[in-house]
Amino acid sequence: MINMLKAIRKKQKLWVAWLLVAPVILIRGFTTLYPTVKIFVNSFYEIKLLKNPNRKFVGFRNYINIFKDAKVLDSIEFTLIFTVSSVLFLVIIGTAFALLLNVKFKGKKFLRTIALIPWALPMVVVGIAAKWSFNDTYGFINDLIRRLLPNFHLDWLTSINTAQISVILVDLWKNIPYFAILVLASLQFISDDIYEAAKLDGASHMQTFISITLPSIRKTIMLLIIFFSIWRLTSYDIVYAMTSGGPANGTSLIAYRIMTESFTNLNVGYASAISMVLFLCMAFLSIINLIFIKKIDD
Amino acid sequence: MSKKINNYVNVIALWVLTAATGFVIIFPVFWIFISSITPSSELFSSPINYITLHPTIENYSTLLETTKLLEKLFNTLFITICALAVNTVICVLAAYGFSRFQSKGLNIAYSLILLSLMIPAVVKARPLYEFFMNVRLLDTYPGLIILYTSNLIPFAMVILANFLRSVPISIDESAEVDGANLFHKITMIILPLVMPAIATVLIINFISCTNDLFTPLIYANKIQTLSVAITTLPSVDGYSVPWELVSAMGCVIILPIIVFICIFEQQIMDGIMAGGVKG
Repeated sequence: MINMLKAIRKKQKLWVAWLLVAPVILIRGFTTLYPTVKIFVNSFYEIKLLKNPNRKFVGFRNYINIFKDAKVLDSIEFTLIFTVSSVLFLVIIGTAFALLLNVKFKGKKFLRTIALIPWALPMVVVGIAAKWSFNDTYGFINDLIRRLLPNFHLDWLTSINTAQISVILVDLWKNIPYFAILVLASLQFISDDIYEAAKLDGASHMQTFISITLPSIRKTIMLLIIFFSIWRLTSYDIVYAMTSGGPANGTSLIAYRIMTESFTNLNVGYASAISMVLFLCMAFLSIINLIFIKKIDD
Repeated sequence: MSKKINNYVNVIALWVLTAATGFVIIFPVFWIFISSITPSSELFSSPINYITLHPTIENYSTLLETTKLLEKLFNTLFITICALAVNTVICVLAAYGFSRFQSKGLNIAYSLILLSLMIPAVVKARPLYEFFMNVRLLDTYPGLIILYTSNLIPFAMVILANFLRSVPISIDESAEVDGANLFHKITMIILPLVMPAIATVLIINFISCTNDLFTPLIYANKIQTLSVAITTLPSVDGYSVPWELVSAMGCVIILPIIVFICIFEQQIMDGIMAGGVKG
């Protein structure tokens, strides 16, 4: 194989390869690398477009201000709550759902098809429908609850705690099936023979799960935890469609806060500093991810 | 005997779980659909009638009259199709480059494309917005198509490059012996072989495009896609949701997607699993 590659490389020079990959690298590089560098530079300037168009170098002041800004601190707090609780339930319920998807029975095709529905629907449609679903009087969620508890009343999205819970529930509805499908991918690598052997040895379902299934999907689940955490940290659509960050900024995720600062308040330098903090958190998670993959591969 | 009973219990438990899952996933979608064909006067009532007594298409006709629905549908499909086409062409070429040539530089470039997924859209938004404004691409079709294409690159790259790596290089060599040049080799030999992978990429990326809210929301104003338009439907008091219109527009978006996934269930499953967490 390597010899063949060498032979081909001799015939065709590398510049052909670079020519082939150039469009992809140009488009992707320009839309990701350039803005990141720009954000890094801007984060050291005061750029308040609402007040004046000039920029002023302020060193680390934007970064220091982050830790004095109650709104940003609230956003960081909710982002962490959102990420941790959402990922926790994704792992528990998502893995259970993956096991259900993996069972061979007549309902398999049906389950797999409906599992794709939440994944395929736009978050904005889900979010805006959820805004109405959680309405006290006209939403279907309270309506269903009232069929069991006739006098139940709760306006989910008007108080901070219940609004936060609602956002997390909607995120779970949309993403549990996706998480499950990705776990299913690794479940399918476990051969039936192993399960048969375990059955012959008289292992119970629980024993089989703990000593065969769990070790085989452990690596995938750990990787998914990292990736889904990163996606949760940068979620925007759900809050934009469902709560607009309210009530009282109670559900404004950090991504939503960055957009408000940079496009509504036009406080561009400050928004860049918050972006850099978010970016560093993600880089940190990615590095953990890389170390983790290495460790498992060894 | 006890084993048989045990089996029955298992089967029943399995179907109960399936039914419960189905209910949780399908019921909200069913409710959106029912709402869209319920007269608006009956929508604002409690308790909710889940089987509407007077089905109507009134909400859809209001939607057609008050919003430029067809224009938004056109925008969505036009941008999606162009982005998918551009993305497919450049990604097939690049996948060929990455899988048939080897150098340190190429390897680094490939990893960087995957790593660029780590840069979230909200972080890129302001600088890209300003750049697109300066070069007058803001709020234009070409501008949006470039941005959509860029979003689709990493997934397409992973699927196509991995697929091409599994295609034996001897196929290339025998084509060379027959005197094919690079262009012929890619269009006549490689393209037919990677068709299944291209299909997977197109199907998954089609969903990504229709799901995209952020790109058209930030980088366009006059050009509205369906995903943006549903957030700007006029509501009576500015706070509540104009549910009769939102549910109708929701159905315009949701129902084709559901038909789409019923048709392509297997390919989508395979695509998500092959792209793994990178998708």
